[in-house]
Amino acid sequence: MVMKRIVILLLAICAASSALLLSGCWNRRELNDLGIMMGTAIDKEAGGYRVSAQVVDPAEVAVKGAASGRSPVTMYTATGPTVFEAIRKMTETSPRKIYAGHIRVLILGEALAREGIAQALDLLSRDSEPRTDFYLMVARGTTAQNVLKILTPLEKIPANKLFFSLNASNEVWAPTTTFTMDDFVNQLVTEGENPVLTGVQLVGNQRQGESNRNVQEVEPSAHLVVRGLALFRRDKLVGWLNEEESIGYNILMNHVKSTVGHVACPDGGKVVTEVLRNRTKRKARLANGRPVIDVHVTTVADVAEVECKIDLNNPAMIRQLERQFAQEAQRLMDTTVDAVQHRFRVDALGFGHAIYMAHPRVWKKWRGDWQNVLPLVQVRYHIHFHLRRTATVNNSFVGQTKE
Amino acid sequence: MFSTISVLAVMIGIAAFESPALWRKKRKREIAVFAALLFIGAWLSVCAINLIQLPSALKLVEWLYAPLDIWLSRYVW
Amino acid sequence: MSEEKLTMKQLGALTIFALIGDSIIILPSSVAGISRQDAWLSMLLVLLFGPAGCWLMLRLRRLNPSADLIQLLRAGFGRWAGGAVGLAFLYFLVLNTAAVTRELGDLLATQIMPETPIRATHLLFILVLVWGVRCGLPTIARAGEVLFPWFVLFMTALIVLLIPRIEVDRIRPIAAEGFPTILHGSIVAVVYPFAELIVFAMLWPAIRPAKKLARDFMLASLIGGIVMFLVVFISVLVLGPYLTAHQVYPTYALAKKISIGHFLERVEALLAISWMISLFFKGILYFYASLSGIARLFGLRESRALATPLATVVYGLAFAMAPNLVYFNDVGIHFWPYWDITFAYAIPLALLAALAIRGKKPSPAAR
Repeated sequence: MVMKRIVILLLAICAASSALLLSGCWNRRELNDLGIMMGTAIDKEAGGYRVSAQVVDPAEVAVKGAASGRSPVTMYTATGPTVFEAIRKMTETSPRKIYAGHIRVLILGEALAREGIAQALDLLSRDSEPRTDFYLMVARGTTAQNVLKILTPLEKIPANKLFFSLNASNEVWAPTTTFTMDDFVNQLVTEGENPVLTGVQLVGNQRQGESNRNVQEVEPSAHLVVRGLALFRRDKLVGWLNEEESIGYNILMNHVKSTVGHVACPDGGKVVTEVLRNRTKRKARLANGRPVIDVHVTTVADVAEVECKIDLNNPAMIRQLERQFAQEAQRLMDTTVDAVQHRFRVDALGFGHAIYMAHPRVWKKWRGDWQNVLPLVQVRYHIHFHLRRTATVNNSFVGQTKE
Repeated sequence: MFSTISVLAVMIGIAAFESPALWRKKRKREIAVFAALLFIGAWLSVCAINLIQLPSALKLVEWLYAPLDIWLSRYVW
Repeated sequence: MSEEKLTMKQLGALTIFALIGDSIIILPSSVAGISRQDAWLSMLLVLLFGPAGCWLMLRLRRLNPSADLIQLLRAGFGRWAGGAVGLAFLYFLVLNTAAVTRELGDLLATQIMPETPIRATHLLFILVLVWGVRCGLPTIARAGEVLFPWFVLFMTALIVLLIPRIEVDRIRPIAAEGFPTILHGSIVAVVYPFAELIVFAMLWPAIRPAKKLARDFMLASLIGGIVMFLVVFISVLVLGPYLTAHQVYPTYALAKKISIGHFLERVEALLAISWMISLFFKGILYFYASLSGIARLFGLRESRALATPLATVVYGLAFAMAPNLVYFNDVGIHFWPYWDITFAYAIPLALLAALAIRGKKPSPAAR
């Protein structure tokens, strides 16, 4: 009887102590041991990769505390033969282990992009810590590390600024669109489709952008601009799309949510429309053995800004504007298709994949030689542009000024 | 070493905990099965704690069905 | 063991748990690895012949509702041959319990706590298994009944909250993989959910006889199958066939994608808890079945005391099963389906044939 009690007591002590010892003790991470990385930059370096982490200084970004003039973020850099080794090496300079669970943006240097980024990205897709909701960008004309060094006004953490800027402009401005890790991997492994990533540029003075002075002026000396789309062949960068081509790309890929564009008025001046809803559907078909892609674009828009003397009370005018805007959309898409088919010869628009989805057996014939078949693809546009309203004013005062 | 001892201590603890009830009721069969299971379990657990690699229990499954899998891969799909 | 029997509701809840159990974690990856974007077509095939296997289990029950599988084996094949097959069946049950434990450990170690040694996770899981079994099957069934609505809530949330992220183009071109491949995918897909329901053949005596039992059981297995179909379907639609096949745990990656208005996001740990619940119930049903099977095979009267030693065997086996996850998955995709088919379909069919030939019904007291 006593023996049983002793045994029970011993087991209870073992159980209690194991509860103390086992409660996540191997994976315990205290908050003040974490260096929370918000932005990551990967550049090519001789013998490997240079990884730069933009780590938050929590005291500086806290709402209540007084800003003591220090930078809200710190950057730790390390070079290593592989990305993971470089990140671990950062503990040589960083007082904390880098925690990758809150990455907002991943910037890749242009030099690295030209050589191929697939190998650099495997860690971020394989590791359980980073999530898949951060945006990928390619730094244009500068290294990725430089991009992360710029301090930004209004948003204390520059990586957040890039993230929100991408989010906002993805919603309202056609030339930009966002790409997450999953989007990139899917585009990379899909046959007949090649990846495209957003580009980010540094405008202004790099040196001054890195210091606090940048945010102490009304107009910062340097700021980051999200501009241009990077075209890849497999995982190597081949070129950039300019603003018009980017708009065409986004229309073709059904990425446009809302945007603004203009056409010329008959008597000079411009009429601007705000696109409220846009839907693009692409279907591939065969015509005489040649591939044809039918692009059906349905857009609903309002007249938003009138800088000329047109009569907006006239329904015929509206129909004419609709035709003009449709032509403009087609022109934009044409420039993109032309760039993709002829200038770059890389299937960034997923035409091959569209053909595979519609006619798998025919695709098998062409897949080996797709680079040469791509310029032969014909694109037929069917654009339905609907102008619904003219906002609060019908005819503009611009055409009715008097002395 | 310490981990092996603690595993064996747990096994003895289990035996001490459960067996008196069985002894009292004179259930010979139950005690035999109990002891057999406990020995197998103790051996396996000691190996687990010390990270000793044993031939996998799944090797039996693999050996039994390898021919079937090969035949199916070649002729059916 | 107590005389309280399980109700239909409890049987339904336990069936769905046992069906979804570990399949929800690994199935989308296995099926998409074979049939790629046609994985959902494989699952449709599974819905057709999976429940047919359940019909087999019900037929076994019809012979004698208060006999479990070991008794039927002895009656069908004779005392010694039946005992041998019974022993093999027990090995199947114990191995499955260890497999469930190992899968839970691997899930936690891959996605949430990579540095924690898997033995610690196994230990905690085994402790709960032992505790549950010592409380008895009715308690387990009641726990299942209570936890079931939460599980339904989480599964519904997983599927519904991902609808905004669907892109229909991901399943095209439809049926391009060809029928043999789709069939291969469905063979792999039918065993984890449906074949492993054979555990209920060990539990029939404990279930309250009811007129609608057959209908309820088939209905529950159909519902579970539909849930698995929806999960695989959504996985291909949201993640795409490549990511579904190449993620080790695609449903976890799916859960990571839930993001409603930048407000409801990063909820994957909550969903992982719901999968742990379903894994637990599958594990404990197998554990209980092994225990009662040992008692039945060796003619023991009291099996509750055997829970702890068997638990140590499961603990050691869970570790020894495979040196790494790669081997585990390799066997799981290439060989385990046939192992399951042997025990869940081949042996019961042979048993039914033998019993029909012998023409006698086993009595409940048969040893």
